[in-house]
Amino acid sequence: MTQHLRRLLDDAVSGVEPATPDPVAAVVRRKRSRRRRTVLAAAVTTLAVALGGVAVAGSLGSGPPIEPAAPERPSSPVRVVDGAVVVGALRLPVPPGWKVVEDAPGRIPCSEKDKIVLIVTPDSGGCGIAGIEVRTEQRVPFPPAGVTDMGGVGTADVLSAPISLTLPGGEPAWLMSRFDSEETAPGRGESYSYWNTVVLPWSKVTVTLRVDGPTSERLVETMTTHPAHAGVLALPGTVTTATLTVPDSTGTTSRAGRREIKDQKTIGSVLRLLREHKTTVPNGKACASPEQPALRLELDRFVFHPSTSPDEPKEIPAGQEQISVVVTLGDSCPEAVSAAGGRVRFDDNAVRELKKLFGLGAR
Amino acid sequence: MSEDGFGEFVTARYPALVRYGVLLTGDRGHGEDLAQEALVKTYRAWRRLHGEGDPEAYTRRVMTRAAWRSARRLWKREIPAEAPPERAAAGDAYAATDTAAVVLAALRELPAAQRVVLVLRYWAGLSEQEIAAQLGCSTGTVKSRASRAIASLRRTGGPLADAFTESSLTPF
Repeated sequence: MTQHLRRLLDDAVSGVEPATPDPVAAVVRRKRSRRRRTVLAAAVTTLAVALGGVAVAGSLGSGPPIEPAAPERPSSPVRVVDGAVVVGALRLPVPPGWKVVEDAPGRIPCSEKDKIVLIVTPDSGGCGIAGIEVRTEQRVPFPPAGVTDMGGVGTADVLSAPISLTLPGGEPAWLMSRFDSEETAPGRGESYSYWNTVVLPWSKVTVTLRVDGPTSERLVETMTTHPAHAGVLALPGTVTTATLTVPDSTGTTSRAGRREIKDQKTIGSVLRLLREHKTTVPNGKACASPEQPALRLELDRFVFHPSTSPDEPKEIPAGQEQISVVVTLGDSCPEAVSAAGGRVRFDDNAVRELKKLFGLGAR
Repeated sequence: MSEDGFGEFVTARYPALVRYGVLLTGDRGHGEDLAQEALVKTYRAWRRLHGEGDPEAYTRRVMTRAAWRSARRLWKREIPAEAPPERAAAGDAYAATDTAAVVLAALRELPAAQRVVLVLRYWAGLSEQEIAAQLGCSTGTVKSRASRAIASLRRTGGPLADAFTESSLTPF
């Protein structure tokens, strides 16, 4: 009895009165106070980073110096050129019969679904029903979920590695679902909402595909790329937490295959291992494919932005960010790709060493 | 307030938005916080919204997505591992109504994703497809979250569980 449920929920909040007497002033204050809070946070985090640096320097002794953090790259503008959506290294031809619509902050642009290529900028929200959505990100986009929901109050989701893909031209991409997966099988009927994402980490672009798997695959095959960020792995200089997720022998990700470390000495060893691998994979030789199992390594770091106010430190923290490194396994195409740029060969020995550092050597 | 009409909009709709926030979070403080955060975004987009948009729909959508994202956020340190304890202050609006307090406690016990789907389905009356579109996920995800929410409520009992038991409702 839906009406009964709704009445219960309505009654539960009907007596709630806001605690804030002047909400307008509160909203304006909140907007302004963010900047002040970041200045305070700057002092705290700068101190923490400095102390962490001292600890790492002490523990590493005369080891190699910590390299500077991966540089911030602005997101690329989206353009429509000769019947194709062009953004970053990606060129996506607009399918015949489809039209391109640009989203804008505060507007809900989709009055019709399907056959729309929606361009979404960082400040706008998208419409949730466009057949193809091309979204640019200010930060390196997070790899598509690959979420294993462990459920229950107080438990965190375990994120499996995304499905790796090499786009024509060599740009790495990460998929949420395989094109032949059950949830993307064609013929599901009109009430079913298809949803898959293709993340291009180097270009900071996410393409959402609300079409079935075979159609998605055909669309992806029409994409071309001109990657600009191949090379050694770009890694953060200072990492506060590192998390490795390893699938078991059946390819399943579970809580037992996830380990988080905060020890600066071990984190230093992880970064050193990654940096030691300098055999880069040129765009023409890249080969990561959806059939390969993969590891997922997350490196948390602080992100700083230049200040525009003379009253503030030169750099203020904009929060924290994770740089993802995805390692595809197997003899045929072992690659490590950093979301911040860079792709290197990463063989079985390196994988074993990485797992050992996280205490996951038995997997 | 430099933007024409924004102050009037907030004054008129703030209580309703806070109540929506309380449903989405199961918590009075978090609900008001969610409403204010969303209104900051509405303020930024006000020129467009005031002219041609629907500011309340926009604000509710921002709130919904924020509540949904909180369940999938990467920064686990930002997510309370357990729902924070709710203390009924003197004169608390819930204290006078036992049923209301129990309903909110039941909502609070649900994982965020399940709570958001439950509210959208049974309070906002959206269809499975509309919810999937609004949250940017598959209908399968919506179905599974709704099923789990109802199963959790039935396990813990209370008025919401009774409502599901009394009726022949299936999630969708």
